[in-house]
Amino acid sequence: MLFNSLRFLVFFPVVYAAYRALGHRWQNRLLLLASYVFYASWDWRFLSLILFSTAVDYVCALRMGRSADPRARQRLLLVSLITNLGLLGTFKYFDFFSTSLVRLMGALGIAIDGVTLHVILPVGISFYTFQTLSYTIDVYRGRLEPESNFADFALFVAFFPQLVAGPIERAEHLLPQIRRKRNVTSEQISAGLWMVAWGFFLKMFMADNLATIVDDVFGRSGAVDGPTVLIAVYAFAFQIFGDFAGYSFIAKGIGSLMGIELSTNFLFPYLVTSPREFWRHWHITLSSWLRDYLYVPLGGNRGSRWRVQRNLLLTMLLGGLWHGAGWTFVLWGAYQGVALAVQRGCEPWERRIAAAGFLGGPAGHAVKVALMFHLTCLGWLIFRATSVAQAGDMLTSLLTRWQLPTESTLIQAQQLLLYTALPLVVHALQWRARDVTTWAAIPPVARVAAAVAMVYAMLVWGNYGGGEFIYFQF
Amino acid sequence: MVAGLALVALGLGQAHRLPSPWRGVARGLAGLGLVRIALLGNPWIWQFYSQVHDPHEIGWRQADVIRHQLDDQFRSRPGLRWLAVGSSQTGRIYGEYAKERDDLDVFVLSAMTPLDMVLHEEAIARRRPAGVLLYLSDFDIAREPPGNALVTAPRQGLRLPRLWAALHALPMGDRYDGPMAELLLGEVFPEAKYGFVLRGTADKVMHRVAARAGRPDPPRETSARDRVAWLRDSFDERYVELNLHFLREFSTRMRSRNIEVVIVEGRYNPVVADARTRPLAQRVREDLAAMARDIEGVVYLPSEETLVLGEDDFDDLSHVTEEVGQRLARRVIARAEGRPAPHYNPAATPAAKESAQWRARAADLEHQVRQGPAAPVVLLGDSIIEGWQGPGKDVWRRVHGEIDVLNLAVSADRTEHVLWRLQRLELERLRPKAIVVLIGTNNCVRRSQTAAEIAEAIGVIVSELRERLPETHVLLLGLFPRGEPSDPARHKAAEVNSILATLVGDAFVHYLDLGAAFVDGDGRVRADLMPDQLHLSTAGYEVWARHLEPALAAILDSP
Repeated sequence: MLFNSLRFLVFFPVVYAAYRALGHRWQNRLLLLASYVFYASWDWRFLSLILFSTAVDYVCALRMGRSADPRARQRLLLVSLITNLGLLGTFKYFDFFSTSLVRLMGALGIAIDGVTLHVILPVGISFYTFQTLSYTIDVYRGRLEPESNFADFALFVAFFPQLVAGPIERAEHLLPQIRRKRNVTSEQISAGLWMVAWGFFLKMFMADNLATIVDDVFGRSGAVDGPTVLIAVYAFAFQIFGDFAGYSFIAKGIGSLMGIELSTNFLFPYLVTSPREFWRHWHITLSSWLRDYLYVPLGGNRGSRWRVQRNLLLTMLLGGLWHGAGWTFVLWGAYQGVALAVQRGCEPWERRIAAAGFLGGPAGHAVKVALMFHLTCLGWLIFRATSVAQAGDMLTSLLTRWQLPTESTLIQAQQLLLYTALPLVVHALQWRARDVTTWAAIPPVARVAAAVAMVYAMLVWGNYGGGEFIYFQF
Repeated sequence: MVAGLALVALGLGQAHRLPSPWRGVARGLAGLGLVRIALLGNPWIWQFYSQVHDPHEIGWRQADVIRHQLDDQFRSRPGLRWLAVGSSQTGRIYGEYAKERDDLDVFVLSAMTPLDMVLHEEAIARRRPAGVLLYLSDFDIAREPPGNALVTAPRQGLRLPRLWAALHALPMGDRYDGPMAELLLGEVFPEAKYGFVLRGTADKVMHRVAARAGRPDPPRETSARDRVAWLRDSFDERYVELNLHFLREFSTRMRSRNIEVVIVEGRYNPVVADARTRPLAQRVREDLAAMARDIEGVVYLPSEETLVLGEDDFDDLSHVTEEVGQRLARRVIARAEGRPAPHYNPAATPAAKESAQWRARAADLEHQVRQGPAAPVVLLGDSIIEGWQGPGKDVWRRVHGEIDVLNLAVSADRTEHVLWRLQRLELERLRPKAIVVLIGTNNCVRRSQTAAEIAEAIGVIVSELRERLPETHVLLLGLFPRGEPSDPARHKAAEVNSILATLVGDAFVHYLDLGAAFVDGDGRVRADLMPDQLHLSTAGYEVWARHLEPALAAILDSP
């Protein structure tokens, strides 16, 4: 069930009321049951997958913990890796690689019969697979004691607020919170409500409304003129932020209401000045996962300059592919990798420019932010395009097909303004307070005015049709 | 509104006494209340919305909702005898007649289905009718109740759980989850329900700005779907049960308020019907009749008892013409009140045409009559008579000589149009000796008009002429044969003629049936005389003139 669905509106209050009434052990059992109900509401067959994956990792980690034999531990880790990545590969990537292979062979003049499975992608599989992988790897590395309580471990894997679209939690962060008794403070409730409201506002007011512009432009078949592409790309930048950050905030807010702190996944990602900083503020739990479990094992910053560049590129390529089984995602990953590598290469120059006092001060900072935002937007164009060919077409339009905007483009431009102005004002208030997780730091008058405006905007312009969150497909 | 303002004042005035978090909440709520009163909670703003918004832009359903809001804010009305409830088709049928009758009103909601009737039950009952008239076609009963009906529906309160259960019993019930969420939200926040007026206002501003600054859009390829196919596709047997459920629910609730329910079998343009929809339509008829038998005080009127409609009774796929609507309204209400259907004959009811061309021609003829000299012979009719100024022009002069003749025909006229024009033509000025009348063939192609009605209308024309011009002879011509021998219009014309033949009784009225002169031995219309099987060639006028001449000469020679 979606957060913005009627079912969730019934589901959550019931679960929450029971949660507050129960003691700690029963709270955990309730949450596990609720999480499975939540997941099964898409398709009950998905439950077998998550249960299987949970059981394998539980057993592997426990036996790893008991064993002192490095080779046995390695074998157990391998079992866990193969199980998790195998499931992910089968359900998410098999058809993609199969058809790509057939096409490649076809291009080389070799006709082969491809096998496609036509399976449905189980929602959230990318998220909980990464979450459990981090657990077994951490146990293998000796950084974490394996969890012996199966129910607690299963809850760690399936905790419903973050099950299908993150944040991707680390066991060392979430498991202790599950194990220990929780007290819900009034600060947590107030912060939780704020984050839930902010998340729904981002999703239903900003993202879902901007989606109509984006879908319209990216859904057209003929050539689109430059101004239209520009508007659509800007719209998508805010749509994907509203959608994904919105989900993360709702998840974090719901966690907070239950006394469980989930990680912050987004921290003003469009106000950064470099690609590296971007990944420290955008989908933070994914990028830190990629850093710790992919980039560092590949060699990380150690080794020659070229090795480091290679590691960056490889990490981002796989990171791109994580987002979806499609060449546009691979291309987007490559773009992000190249951006990181180029930035790293340019660091000496950057230092020299800074030393010369160029682009210093608030104005210079603003220029850098604007520049970085547009680099990010270029990435989003590739990301949103339905095919690599469309991405190329759109880019060509953006660079060459400039003319006076048409009426419908101007309407879309005004809609973009309408749907981003208020979120940006509230976001600016949060930026001023340097805190997205609570409204306590915002001055009272602004707080009340912002709340009234948000509620009103959501009521009038909110989209209740139940649009899916983009990140569910990843 | 006053109570609302008082609450807001109380909230703002007393907020400072509250402890910290509640102070903010109270101020927030007061702020919300103030904005709500300004944007949605006062009659003036609805007046404004109703003036600013155009149904083409904001949507037909939405415009109807705005009108209902205004109605509810302003009007307190006496009880009604009848309230016609339904879609825009209902408005078309009863709208004109309701202007004549104070005890009849309409409650129109664009694309209304039985679900909407249930949702608007309170609003309907508030108008205090003694009975409601529902016009329901098979299409209304066999299509999916649109989910957005829920979004703009009035507050439901305690009826919500039943509604929810009924919708969830559907094969695809969860499709209503989104709209249901909006309905729930709207129960508490009217902003969610009526936000469309604000969105519409913002859209209007944006369109205006764009139109001023932007380049016009290049035409976009849109896949225009055939509307007939679309209508056919919307027929779905699975929804019949659900719609009947809502209709039963609505009828029972009306009965519990002691309001009569009259269900009139509706028809959409018959071009929509095909092999799949026809059996469904039959089933719907039977189900509706059964429902009327089950619930006391519910009456079902099949179309045979009101009007059976044909293709040309419609302006488009779903709306009857105004003329047919008027007629239908009168018949339905008469039947509902237990009277025999009134004698309303559209062919005999004066009517003008919309087209500017027609009006110009009619005005020109009026002018000729008013300004011109007296004319011993006047011609009255449609294009066939008008042709005396075309292909028949020289023929007339050759056969009849230099008799002054005034041709008052307008092509494509039917009897009702001639009647309308007669009211305005100052024929008395002309002091004619003879009027030649040939009218009615264009009535024959209209399936809704019967031969008896057409003949009656021609009779009315003749008696009006007799009344106004007692000294003038009327030379009434029987309708000419037209089309193939199997053409229904041809049969109807023949039937009209047989009635006309019995109509004559006065020495000043002369009936002449020249039809036989235009057909060959097989009864087929002669192509040399009537090339398109309707209008005459010059040779045709020749034949006509020769047959007309003796009768006309006799009249003109008489003292």
